[in-house]
Amino acid sequence: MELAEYLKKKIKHAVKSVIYNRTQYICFFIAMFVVEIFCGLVVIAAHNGNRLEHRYITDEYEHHLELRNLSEDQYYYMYNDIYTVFANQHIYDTHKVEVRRDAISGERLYTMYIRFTGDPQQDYSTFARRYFRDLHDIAGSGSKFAAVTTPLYNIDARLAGNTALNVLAFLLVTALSVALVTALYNIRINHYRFEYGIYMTFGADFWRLLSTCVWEMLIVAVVVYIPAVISSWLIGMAVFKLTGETFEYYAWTPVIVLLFALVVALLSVCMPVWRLSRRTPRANIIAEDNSNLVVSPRISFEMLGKTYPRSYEFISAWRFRKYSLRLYAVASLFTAIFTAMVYAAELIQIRQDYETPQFYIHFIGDESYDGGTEGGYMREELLEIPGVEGVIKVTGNLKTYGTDAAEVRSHILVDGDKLTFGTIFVIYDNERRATNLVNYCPCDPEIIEYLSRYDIEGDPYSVLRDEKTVIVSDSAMNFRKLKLKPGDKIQVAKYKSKIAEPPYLRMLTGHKLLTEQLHLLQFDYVEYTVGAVVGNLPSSYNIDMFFSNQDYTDLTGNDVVYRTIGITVDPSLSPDEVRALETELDRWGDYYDATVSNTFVLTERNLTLAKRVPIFIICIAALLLAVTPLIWFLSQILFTLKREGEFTVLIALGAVMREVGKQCVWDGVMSVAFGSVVLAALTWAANFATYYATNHFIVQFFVGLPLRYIFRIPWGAAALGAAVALVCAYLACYVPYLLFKRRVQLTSVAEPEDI
Amino acid sequence: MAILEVSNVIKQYKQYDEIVTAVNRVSLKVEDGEFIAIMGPSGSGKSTLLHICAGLDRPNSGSVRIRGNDLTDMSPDELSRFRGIYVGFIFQKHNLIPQFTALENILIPTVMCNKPDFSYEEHLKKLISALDIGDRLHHLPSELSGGQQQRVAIARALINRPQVLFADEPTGNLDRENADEVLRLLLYTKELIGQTLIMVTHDMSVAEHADKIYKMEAGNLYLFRDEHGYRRNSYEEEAERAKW
Repeated sequence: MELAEYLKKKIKHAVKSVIYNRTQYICFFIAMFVVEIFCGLVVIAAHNGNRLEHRYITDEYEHHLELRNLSEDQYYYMYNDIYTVFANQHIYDTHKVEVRRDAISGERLYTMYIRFTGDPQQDYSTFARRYFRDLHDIAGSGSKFAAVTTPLYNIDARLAGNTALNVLAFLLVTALSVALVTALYNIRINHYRFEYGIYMTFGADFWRLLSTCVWEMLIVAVVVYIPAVISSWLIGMAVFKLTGETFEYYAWTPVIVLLFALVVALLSVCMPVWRLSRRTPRANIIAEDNSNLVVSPRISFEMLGKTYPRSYEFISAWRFRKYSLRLYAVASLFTAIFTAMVYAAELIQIRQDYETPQFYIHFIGDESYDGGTEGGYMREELLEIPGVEGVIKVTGNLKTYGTDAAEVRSHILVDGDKLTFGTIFVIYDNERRATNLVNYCPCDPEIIEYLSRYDIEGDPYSVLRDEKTVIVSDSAMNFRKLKLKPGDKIQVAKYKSKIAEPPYLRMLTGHKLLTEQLHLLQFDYVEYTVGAVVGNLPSSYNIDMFFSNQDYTDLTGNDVVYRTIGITVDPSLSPDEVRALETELDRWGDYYDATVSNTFVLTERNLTLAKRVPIFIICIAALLLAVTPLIWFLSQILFTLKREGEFTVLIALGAVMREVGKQCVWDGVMSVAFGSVVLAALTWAANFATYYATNHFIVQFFVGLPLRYIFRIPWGAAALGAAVALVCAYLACYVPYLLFKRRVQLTSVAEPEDI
Repeated sequence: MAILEVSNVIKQYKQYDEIVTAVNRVSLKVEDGEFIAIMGPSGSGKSTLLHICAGLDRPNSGSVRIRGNDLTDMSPDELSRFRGIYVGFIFQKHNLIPQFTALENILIPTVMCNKPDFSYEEHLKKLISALDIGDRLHHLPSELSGGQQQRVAIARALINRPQVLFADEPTGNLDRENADEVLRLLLYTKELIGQTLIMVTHDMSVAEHADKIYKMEAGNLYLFRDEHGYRRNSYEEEAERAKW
């Protein structure tokens, strides 16, 4: 009962205070409304993303496993599977069986579509243990039997992975929301520091101060809660429906948004109040007239002969520089985050649009891909599969056959001044540096065609034409490592003999291994000329170097044989069309003794498109941008309120109202000038941080694609952000003057009859 | 000719349904070079009268002339310019501008209304010396004591050599020692520049130095002590005398 009474009293008092200060709380209503929409959107996107993923996969795949190209014997082995007789041993159903005939032998080949009855991971493990060995034994050599799991097989793991990502996104949005509301609350606290200083003088501690603030923010959070939940629902629905997808409202959304709102309100008040309570009461009391914001000078400016208002305001701005810089930094930070979020949405879109093969054809016999050489016909055949359309690209090696230099006890030598800043290679001698973090790759016209997508300097075809010429990628881990130019020389080491090769060498890798090898092994060095340098090539740990086939074989001892072909298909193909194409590729594979594997990349692509993640990011970014004017205006209005005394004194000393207005104009002009510098710096930093994190970590460890992003600033978003920020920077200085002028005019003299 | 002529000035405020008359038909003449003190209890309207005389506020009726210029006829901008040239004002709460040093605060009026006809540098040196603030010139107001702030405010009010100096309880927030010091400085600079000084004060020991002492009671002003030392005790007594 006491608690209920206490809560009732607090809430009542807080409601009265919010109503009384409603003008000042407007910006907090707006900010909490927006951040609650953030939360709603993230929850809606997460729920519908998982729902769509589940639906897409379960609609497209009713089976967990495909046993492809089973021979007749293999098929009947499965058909007569004794385990299916026993109920407690029964782990799968046969969903479908397809039969085709081998194009060469005419033999019947079966594809069984298996659906597990229990947990797919466990059942697959049991299945593999029971059947795979026997199936391989039955098949013998030359069998094209393959067991391929479908996306349905690991759907639970996928959804769990999505949930983990969604939780991360939720935490990021929470952090962003707390940062935004805290920034606003800091501004408000600063305005009331004098009052709180008086409270502290009379004994108010952190908890007492907090209780005077937090209830009001909780009321604000609750007042905007229902409109925010409805708005997030409408926006989420619009995003999905307008793009032709179904939409489902997640019943827990209102609960999550409410909890989120209360947490954000609490945290965004706690931190500013905590900092306030750590200061002495005196430090707060002197904040009555902005004294706390002044950077203490050591000298005075030469005022005699200066002009008013320009010089006056320049000096004022200089003295308030700490406050101004803080305002520019905080307000511009959120604008910069807006631009970075648009950039992140672009990067996600690039990832989604990246073409990867839907099928891989693997040669298991003596055949290999001839598409790289002149006169090759396999590519033409594959592009023109009879009866089925949809193959848009056939690619051979794509540098998947590179040989690690360390594997063949090799390394390269490069002049030390050809390394970029921060690149560390092993010191070979005074001038040259060595590294074994290199991939040696063969090269043919098809590879050159692939490399030509990137920035190439020099003539790449020289590698096929000239002796001892090489194409070099300048990057590793998507970092630029080398500053080579066409015509530069590189020495490539070929192992000759050993002085010693102790066993511990086997445990070493990378440059540690190379350092030991340089002492213990002997090498012949062959000089190569750099024919072309490729910039921005997606790269892994090693630098890629492309040699002619002959040089590659000489160096590595491996023949250049392409055993895998990638088949990229039209993304608009339906699942049935993809299956039909797979069957036709199987038939083609019969002629060349090759098997076909499905990467299910179209399903992935359609899934990621359906989730509309970039659009949700853009929505949140746009809302964030819409809220940044609050920071400018709240800060400057409260700051100028405390300067009204100063304006009144200036008028008393002889200034006219329009000169005070000009003072504010100069203030606005300086805000725009300096604010744009801060904004430009923060925008660059935010976008670079996004690029760096994405290009050097996320791509390497999570994406699994040969992807490399280019650092850029989305100029449209940056321009929009800058326009909003700088207009606000100017108006936030001028509008408070207009309010002051209006107040002065309203309190001007009235005639007795008016009273 | 009187430097300041106040004629039948009325200032009223409306508070809810009540009309409060802060200044009730006050007339006043101040001669050039005089030191006038205005005393009275809190709420008697003396600060309001002072603000009206200085052109910082407007009366509902009546007129205020300084050197023959009718302040009540001027536009706000004209009034501002006029103040910059003719009037100096010392506020009770100093009202120094927080982001400027003591020296810069003193020189702000010169930026507003640059008078080309005399040397600011010489005048500044004299003021700094007279007010003894030479060692605190480069400090912010927040780094000065109350007495120092008041001295800076006095210097600011005097830098443009105003013809009339209005002071609103300049010693109100100071201890005895500082109050005496400020009074001494005001009298000294008055002699130095030869200006007219009109001061609102609670402090009889300060007012005793004035040529004339006026008192305000409930918006009514009467001469309490003239230059000959003759005293009246109340507004009614003064009103009675005026009848005769």
